[in-house]
Amino acid sequence: MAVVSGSRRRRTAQRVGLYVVLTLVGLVMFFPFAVVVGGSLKARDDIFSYPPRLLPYQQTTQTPAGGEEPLPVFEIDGQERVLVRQVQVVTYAPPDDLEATVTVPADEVEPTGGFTEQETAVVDGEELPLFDVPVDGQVVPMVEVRSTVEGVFALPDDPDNVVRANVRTAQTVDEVSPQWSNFREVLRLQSLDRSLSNTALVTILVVGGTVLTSILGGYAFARIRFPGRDAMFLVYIGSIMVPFVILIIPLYQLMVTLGWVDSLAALVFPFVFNAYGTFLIRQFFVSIPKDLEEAAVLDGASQWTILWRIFVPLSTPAIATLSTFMFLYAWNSFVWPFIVINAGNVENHVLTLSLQQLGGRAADTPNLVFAGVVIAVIVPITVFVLAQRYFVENVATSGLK
Amino acid sequence: MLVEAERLAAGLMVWHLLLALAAAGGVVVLLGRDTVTGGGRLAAIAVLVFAALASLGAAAGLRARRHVGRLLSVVVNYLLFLVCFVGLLQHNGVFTGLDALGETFTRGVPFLAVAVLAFVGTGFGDGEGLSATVRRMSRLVAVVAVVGLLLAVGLVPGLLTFVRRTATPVGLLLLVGIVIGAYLTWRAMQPDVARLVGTTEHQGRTITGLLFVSPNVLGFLAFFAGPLLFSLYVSFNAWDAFADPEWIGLGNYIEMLSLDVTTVTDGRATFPEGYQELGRVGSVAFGARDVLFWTSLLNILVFSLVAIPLSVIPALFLATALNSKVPGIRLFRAIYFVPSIAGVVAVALIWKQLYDATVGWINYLLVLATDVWNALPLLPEATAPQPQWLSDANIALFSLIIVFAWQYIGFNTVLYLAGLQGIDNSLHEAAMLDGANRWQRFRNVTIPGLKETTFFVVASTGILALQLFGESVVLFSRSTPVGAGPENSTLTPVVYLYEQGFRRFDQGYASAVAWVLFVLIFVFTFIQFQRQREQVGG
Repeated sequence: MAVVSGSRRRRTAQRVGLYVVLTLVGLVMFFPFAVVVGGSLKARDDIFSYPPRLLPYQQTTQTPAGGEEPLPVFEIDGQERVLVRQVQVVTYAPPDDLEATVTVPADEVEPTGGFTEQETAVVDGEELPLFDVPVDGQVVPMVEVRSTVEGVFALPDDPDNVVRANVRTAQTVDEVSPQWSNFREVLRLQSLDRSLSNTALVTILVVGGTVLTSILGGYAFARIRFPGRDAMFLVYIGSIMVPFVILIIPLYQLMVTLGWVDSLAALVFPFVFNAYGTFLIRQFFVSIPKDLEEAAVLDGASQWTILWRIFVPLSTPAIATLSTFMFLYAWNSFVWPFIVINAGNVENHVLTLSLQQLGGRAADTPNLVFAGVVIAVIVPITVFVLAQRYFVENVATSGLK
Repeated sequence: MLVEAERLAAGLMVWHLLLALAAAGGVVVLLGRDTVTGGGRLAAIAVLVFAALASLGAAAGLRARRHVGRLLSVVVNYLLFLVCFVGLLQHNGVFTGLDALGETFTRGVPFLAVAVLAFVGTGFGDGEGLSATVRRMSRLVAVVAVVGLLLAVGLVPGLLTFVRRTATPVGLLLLVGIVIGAYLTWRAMQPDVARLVGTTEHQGRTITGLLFVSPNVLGFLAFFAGPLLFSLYVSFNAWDAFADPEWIGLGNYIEMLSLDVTTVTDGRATFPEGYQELGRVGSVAFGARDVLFWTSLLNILVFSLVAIPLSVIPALFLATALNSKVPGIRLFRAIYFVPSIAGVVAVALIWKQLYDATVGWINYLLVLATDVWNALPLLPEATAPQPQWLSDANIALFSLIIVFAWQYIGFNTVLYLAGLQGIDNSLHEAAMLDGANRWQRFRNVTIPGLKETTFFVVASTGILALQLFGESVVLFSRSTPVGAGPENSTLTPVVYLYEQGFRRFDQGYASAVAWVLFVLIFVFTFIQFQRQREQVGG
């Protein structure tokens, strides 16, 4: 008995270990997305605050008793206080003893001898203006050493109870407050709404076109025997291994010849004749048993009818896989749009281009860049979640066989 | 019936003779004029010669009542139809009209959403668990939504423009070509013509097969095979994309690949003229004519050497862990997969912020980790490293590697998971009976069983890694050349190709870069393939 319980305890330990590892990796994979979503809702100064925080924070405001406007809240000596106003505070010292400093608000001091004929004193070989500074009821002429801004902080319930403190080093009181307006702003900033519509159009056309040509080609390669077919199919498979890099220059020249440079057409038509799609659909069609079509053949149905009435309805998984794959490809493609669409032609930008430009232009407002990223990423992730059933299981297996 | 077919065959013969004459005339005109130059001219001449020869063959074949005549006739007329159809679309500006559609498309999005929802309501054709009424209603709604979509995005004004542009001499000529080509193709496909020339069932299938593959194959030729050959041709030329290409043979390749090795004497290395120092190993100095190209090559080799194992090996272990039947696996799998579908630009922008040297999360986490380290007893005091991830030339390439691995580990995990599910479970059980422990089973059953998957995973990751571009360009957008990073430390061959081809407009040189990279990728894939084969043998 002891042996059994020992092995069970070991299995439990193993399972816990497994979950710990999987969760850690999951955190590594997920954490950057959490940063993006949080960042996309942050105000500009919040995203530059250190240490970084995941949630979007903003300083709490509160309207003090008898006040009219909400004022920012700070924590001073353990008490929450609102910042009523800021005063310029100047540190003065007598010209003959710079160590004996006095700090007073700037508006309590007047220039010695009046504004027009201000007297001066020479300190360390430098001529400095003199000010009449009130010290213990007396007025002493002094020179300015330095000046800072101090805040006047009041208790919200008792506005007459004030203390002065340095604003910059004061501890702010923050609350979670998402800035939804970032999304509206980023849509305007880089005409991201137009890119979104362009991307949707290009993606729909690429997916639709690829599925159509792949179904036709895949059917011929799977079911219609004609001379040269198998050689042609081998060339097709081989072409999948050819990297896109090699086509960049000649395709660009072809676009110049056709007058499609800078045009959405360049993003659509070169990509709808797809060897990979033909291959994928063909592999699925080959696996469909022949008896299914034999009755239709005996009835004299044409190949066209057999394809659309028998093969296509049976091939939902393969078509969904191909559609998802092409969707992700078209939505995320960057190299080709970057080359063929002019950087200045904002009208014809797709999302990846706009994002790339936004990353450069809005480098000082990463919160807006993140909002753009969220907009760009939310669609493929939604499609992935919806199509996961087909995609994860099929793209993997059909890509291998 | 047969009389009609004979009359048609006679008419077709005349038509093909006329076509052959016209095509030959076109070739003569093209050869006589040299205003049209380059690949376009060659392609046009080739197409016309093919059209003339095929037409002659069709006429002769039809006269001899042979099937080949019918086949050629169908091919020629079909191509005529297609060329005129695409030509009319291009002439009327339908392709470039997509830009205008991009503007009005926003108005159609609500209709599109309704149409998609309604289509889901029809149950994709199989309609499990949906009543017939629901399906019929959904279909109706989908049709209405599609019509609404077309109207909203401006179908009517578009069609009017199309009609107006067709009513020009060129437009009408193309329209006539479309009608004649389509009619003759359809007519020659009819059974009476087949009977007249004695087409067998097998031969009939050939025509159908060709028609089915034609859209794909023609597009493949136009947008893949043709450009591929053109690229090879261009790589042997000096070409600034505006003037005529100038044939320089292997000139581009020689300039790019020239290396020189000397020994360092008195701390100096002297190279022949035109060479610059690339780097030193001990007292040996390497010089190259194109230092930037060699830099890019070295960078990508270092990158691939680290990034490929880093995104494949963890994936193998993760897949093994995920393959056990514990609950929640699907959730983990989905989370791991998400980075690979987020897109290169989005991923790079995310990491750009994470890598920020002052307020970025990574350096902050390093501070936290150091605090934990220092809080532990018996460990030497440490200060938190704060690397300049994106501006330190020694680190920048490593930063790229992390981004790449993060992006593709999940994808590779899913591929491995599929491979694992294909391994016969009885092998594991047999090994267990032989007393093999977990590691031995992993080593001797799992890994050999995954060799095909491993080939696919390594090859596809390698192809992605060797073509690295987007990540560099987004992360190092401020450097010159764009994407080259601090001191060219993240300059990759594709980044260099972009610089040469589209900044300096030396498209011949850029093509040569592409071909060298292609050879590199091919060699890499081939080695992987050989290794897989050897393992099968052993």
